[in-house]
Amino acid sequence: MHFYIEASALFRAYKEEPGSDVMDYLYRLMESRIVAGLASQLSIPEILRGITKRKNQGEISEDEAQKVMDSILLDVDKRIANDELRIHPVEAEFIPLINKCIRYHNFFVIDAIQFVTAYKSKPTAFIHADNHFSANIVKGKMKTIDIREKDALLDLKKLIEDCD
Amino acid sequence: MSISVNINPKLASELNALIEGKSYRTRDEAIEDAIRFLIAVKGKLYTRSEVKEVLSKYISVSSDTLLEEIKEEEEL
Repeated sequence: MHFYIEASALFRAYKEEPGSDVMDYLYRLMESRIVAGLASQLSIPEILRGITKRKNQGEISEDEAQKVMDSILLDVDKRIANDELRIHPVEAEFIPLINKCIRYHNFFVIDAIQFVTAYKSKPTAFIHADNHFSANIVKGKMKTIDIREKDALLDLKKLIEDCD
Repeated sequence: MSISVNINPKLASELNALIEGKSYRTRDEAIEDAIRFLIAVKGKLYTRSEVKEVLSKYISVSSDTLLEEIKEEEEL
């Protein structure tokens, strides 16, 4: 079983918000090698940009922001080294589909990349926390779980039980 | 790729184990990772739960708002 973790969900593994409990559960399963996590190579840069933007706005100091980003990078690197988390690149063959998502479904570039990368990796489920991925085009292509929803944890547990 | 630094052998071995299997385009990239690992091993970085505490303390908006802002910023 492998779960594609979109940047909005991945961020909640590092910032306490609704859905963080689902990410904690998923991370425990990844650590136990029961499931593997998948993510786009662009997810971590998205998170780093989010923190940097807030640093630019003065919400968090330069030193603290850099330390937090180093800590996130180290945590992710360890998970990659342990094969708990696999990073997927944007392949050239994805581009036509990415273009279609932008032209005909009005996706943001990064959302189109995330969606197509997930779709091509054929995940057990697409884990996210972003309203853009509630669109039918996404739900019609793969199982999705919005970790902010109140039954998300139950849904995830049931999905894993069903796959066993 | 592995690294060679002047630290005790056990720590060097742990660092090499962490970066083993990763592919780096340049030596600088590998060294940057190794330094990050080294700092972490010495206890200077945050654990994941500490990162959560720090980000929740300093960043007021939700992560979906934050990521949305970035997407809109890229549209400009």
